[in-house]
Amino acid sequence: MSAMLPKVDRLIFLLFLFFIAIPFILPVALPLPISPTTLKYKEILENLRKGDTIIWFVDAMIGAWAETAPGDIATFNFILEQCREKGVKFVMVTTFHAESLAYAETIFKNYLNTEGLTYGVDYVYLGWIPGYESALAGIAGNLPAIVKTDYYGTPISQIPMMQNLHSIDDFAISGFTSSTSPDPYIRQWSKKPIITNILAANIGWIMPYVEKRIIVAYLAGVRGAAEFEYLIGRIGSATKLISAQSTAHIYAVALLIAANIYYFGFVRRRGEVIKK
Amino acid sequence: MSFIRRIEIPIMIFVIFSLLILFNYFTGMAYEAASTVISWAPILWILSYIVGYVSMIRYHVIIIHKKQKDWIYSIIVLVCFIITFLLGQLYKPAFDFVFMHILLPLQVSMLSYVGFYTYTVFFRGARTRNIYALFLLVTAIIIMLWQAPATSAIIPSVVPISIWIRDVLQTGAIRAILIGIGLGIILIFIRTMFGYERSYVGGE
Repeated sequence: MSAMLPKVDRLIFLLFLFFIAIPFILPVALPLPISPTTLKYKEILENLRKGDTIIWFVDAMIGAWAETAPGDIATFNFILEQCREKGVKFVMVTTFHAESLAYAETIFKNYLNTEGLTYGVDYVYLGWIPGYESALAGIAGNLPAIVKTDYYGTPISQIPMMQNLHSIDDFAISGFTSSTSPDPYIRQWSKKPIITNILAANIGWIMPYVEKRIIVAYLAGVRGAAEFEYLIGRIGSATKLISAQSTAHIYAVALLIAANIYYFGFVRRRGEVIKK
Repeated sequence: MSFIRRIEIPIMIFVIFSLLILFNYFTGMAYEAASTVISWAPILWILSYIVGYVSMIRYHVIIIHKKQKDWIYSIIVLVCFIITFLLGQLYKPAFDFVFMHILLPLQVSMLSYVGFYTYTVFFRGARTRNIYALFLLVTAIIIMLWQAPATSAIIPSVVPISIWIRDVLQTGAIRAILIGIGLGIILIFIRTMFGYERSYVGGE
């Protein structure tokens, strides 16, 4: 059996590759029911009014790109649409790690549609304010004391939309993308409603905050992103990935069942024969 | 000089600034002073990066100098570090290329590698040897069927069961963990304030 295991591994890996490749080779439109949480997420962003400012902490690591970036790209473009149509203001910032800076910078420079918007008036990118929870606390308490310039090095005193932003009280809502703990955002920003785009595996972690309505809406990984892309009519990478996720999960369930059939059908029965 | 190296100095700094921030938090007074202290955090964070870089360079230079085992990898680390650092400072488009086409695929590959091994674990490890394993297996299957949008559309009955598992079983357990973490943070803070917790200044 032990000599056979590497062969089993190879077979499992090959079948895994095969199952996740199917949706890319033969594009089939698998059903995608929209979760109420994603509907709520869109509703909250849609309900932002003229003059409302939303701040988003883009604190994901590069390894989480495949899972969180599609949701971020869709969300930020939708917020920018609200800026264009309603005069909402958007502040983007990263606090976590140098890797998060690279992650946020890539999205900011390559994936956002800022057509018709003026930088510094409708939206601003503050770059990296190192310190994670300390930075979150600083921005919430006294923003001008901790943020001196934006991403381009322009003093915030010269950025029109930053003139009225001094602390958490000046923001209508905050959002965060995280590939680690959601707790620091709750500790420092729970005074205002929070929304999040988070790894599907971390959903359990935020549920106590969702129940208490501290986090008012969330996107759950690639699935949430795909649902959101569908809702806003902007088909992106999450929609392409979601079918592969479906086939991968079905394959995982099949493996679990196969493992137990094998165990009860062969291994245990053989063990009983030996005992007798 | 020996006075400055005393362990009581950093503990005193910690206590004074912690009390200042707590005082501001509970009374709203000394706002400017507390804000100033918090605004030092990014500077300290950056300094910690510099300390990390110096330590990393020193570590690898020693390995190369003594030609210790696998010293060639230390050369690769240093060369990559220097190239990336210089690109970030001197030529942004090339740095973006390194990020998008080298670092990003490598990081995602590392995670995917773990994903492949998870699938072998499904086959090798997930065997129902007792009743607890059966509970775990059934829960895992239900949650996975729910998380796959196609199956949750075809078998809608998995949705309410999964939501119940998430909202009742999982949230209950997570809430207990969060309360435990909160109590732990308070306890560590009190121990640090009284000087019992000294690991952050190199004590025991």
